Amino acid sequence: MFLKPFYTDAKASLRACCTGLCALFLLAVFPALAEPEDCSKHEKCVETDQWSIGVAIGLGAKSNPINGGDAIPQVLLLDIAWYGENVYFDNGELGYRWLQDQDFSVESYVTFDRERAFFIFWDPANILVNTGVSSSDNPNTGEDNVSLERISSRNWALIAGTKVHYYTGSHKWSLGVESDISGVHSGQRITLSYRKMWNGDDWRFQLKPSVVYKSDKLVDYYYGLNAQDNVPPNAYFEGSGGFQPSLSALYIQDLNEDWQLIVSGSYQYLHMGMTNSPLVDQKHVSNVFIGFGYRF
Amino acid sequence: MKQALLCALFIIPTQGCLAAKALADETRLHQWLVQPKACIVQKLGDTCEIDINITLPPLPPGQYCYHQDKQRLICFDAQAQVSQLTLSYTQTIILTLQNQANEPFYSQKLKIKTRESKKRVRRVRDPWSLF
Repeated sequence: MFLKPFYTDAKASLRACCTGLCALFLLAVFPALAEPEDCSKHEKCVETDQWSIGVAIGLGAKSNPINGGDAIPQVLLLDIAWYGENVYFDNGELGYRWLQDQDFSVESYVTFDRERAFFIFWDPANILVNTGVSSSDNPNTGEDNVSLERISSRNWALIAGTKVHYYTGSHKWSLGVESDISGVHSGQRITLSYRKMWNGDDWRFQLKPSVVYKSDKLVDYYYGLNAQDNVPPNAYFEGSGGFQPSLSALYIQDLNEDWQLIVSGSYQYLHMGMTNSPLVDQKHVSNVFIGFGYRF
Repeated sequence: MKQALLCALFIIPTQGCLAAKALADETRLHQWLVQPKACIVQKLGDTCEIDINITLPPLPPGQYCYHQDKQRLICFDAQAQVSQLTLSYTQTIILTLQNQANEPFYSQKLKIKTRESKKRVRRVRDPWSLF
C-alpha cells in the first residue's frame, strides 16, 4: 500500500522540477535592479587567513518530515568560515578551490551529509537549544508502527563534492555533484542553484531557487525500511531517487558595525520516492528564522 | 654640495646630514632620483594619483621625454628640466626618461601598495548556512 507507480512519482518530480526551473528562469531574466556584487564589504566575502565568526540569537525552526522526528529548533546559529589562498573551511565544509576569478570558481570539498540531521536531535545541523517541540506536537499520521524511535540508526556519511560557480553581476549560478565516499549509502546528489542578490548600503536580500537530485541509494538508505528496522514487513519500503526543488530567501540588515538583523526562510519540496515512505509524514521541509547576529 | 661641505666640517654628523648623504648616494647610484617610489591606495584596483618629484643630473644637450610604461607623458629640453610630474595609475608602472633617439636614459619602477593588506575572497557558501 505504500508503493505507488513509478510513473506517478516521475511525473510529480518532473512537475516540481519544472516549477523550480521556471522560478530560476524568471529570476534570471528579471530586470537587474541590483548593483554588481562588491567584495569589499558584506559577509559573502571574507579576508583571507582570518577566521570569520558570527553568532545569531533568535527564534526559528526547521520542520522535520520524519514521522516521530523533532522539529529542529534554531535559537542560536553559528556562521564560521576561514579562507586561505586556496584551502577553506566554511560552515562545516572543508575544501580546496581550483579556480577563482571574476567570473568562475571551482572547488572540491568534503563535508558530512546534512540529511542525517532529521534522524538525530543533537546534531551539528540542529543548533543548539531544545525549545521543547517534540514528536508529540506533530500531527500523527496513524502510522504509529513506523517512527524515528523504532528504526535502526542512520550513520554519518562523509560526502565529497565538486562545485562550479558562474558569477555575472549580482547573479550566481552553481552546479554541484556530491558522492558518499564513506560507503555508508554510496549515493549521489546533484544540485543546480541560482542566486540573485540585491544590495543596499546597509542591507542585503537574496533569493535562491535550486533543484537537487538525490539518487536511489541515498534516498533508500535514509528513508527506506527493511528487515533491519524494527517495523512490520508490510511497512517495508524501498526509496527511489528524485528531484527536490526549493526556494530560500535571506535578508540581512546592518544595525551597526557589529550587529545585524537576520531574517531567513526556505521551502523544499520532497519527491514521492521519499514521501511515500511510511517513515516520512510531510511532503516538504520548511525553515524560518528571525534573529540578531553578532560578528566578531 | 653646500650642505655636504657643512656636514664634513662637523665630526658628529646630524640627522639632516645623514639624509643629505643618502640622497646624494642614491642620485649617484641610479643617476636620477624619483620620489616617492610607491603610492598607497585603499585596495587593489583603486587608482593612484600622485605628484612625483624628480632630481636629474645635468643632461647632455637635446630633447628628452618622460614615459609611463609605453605612453609618452611630457617632453623637455635638457636646459629646461621638468622635475615634477602628476601620474595616475592602478598597477605598478615603469617611469622612463628617453632621449631623442627614444633610447631609455633612466628608468624607475613605481609600485602600488594597499592599505587593506589582506585579500578578500568570495565565500563558496552563503552566510549563516550551517543550518
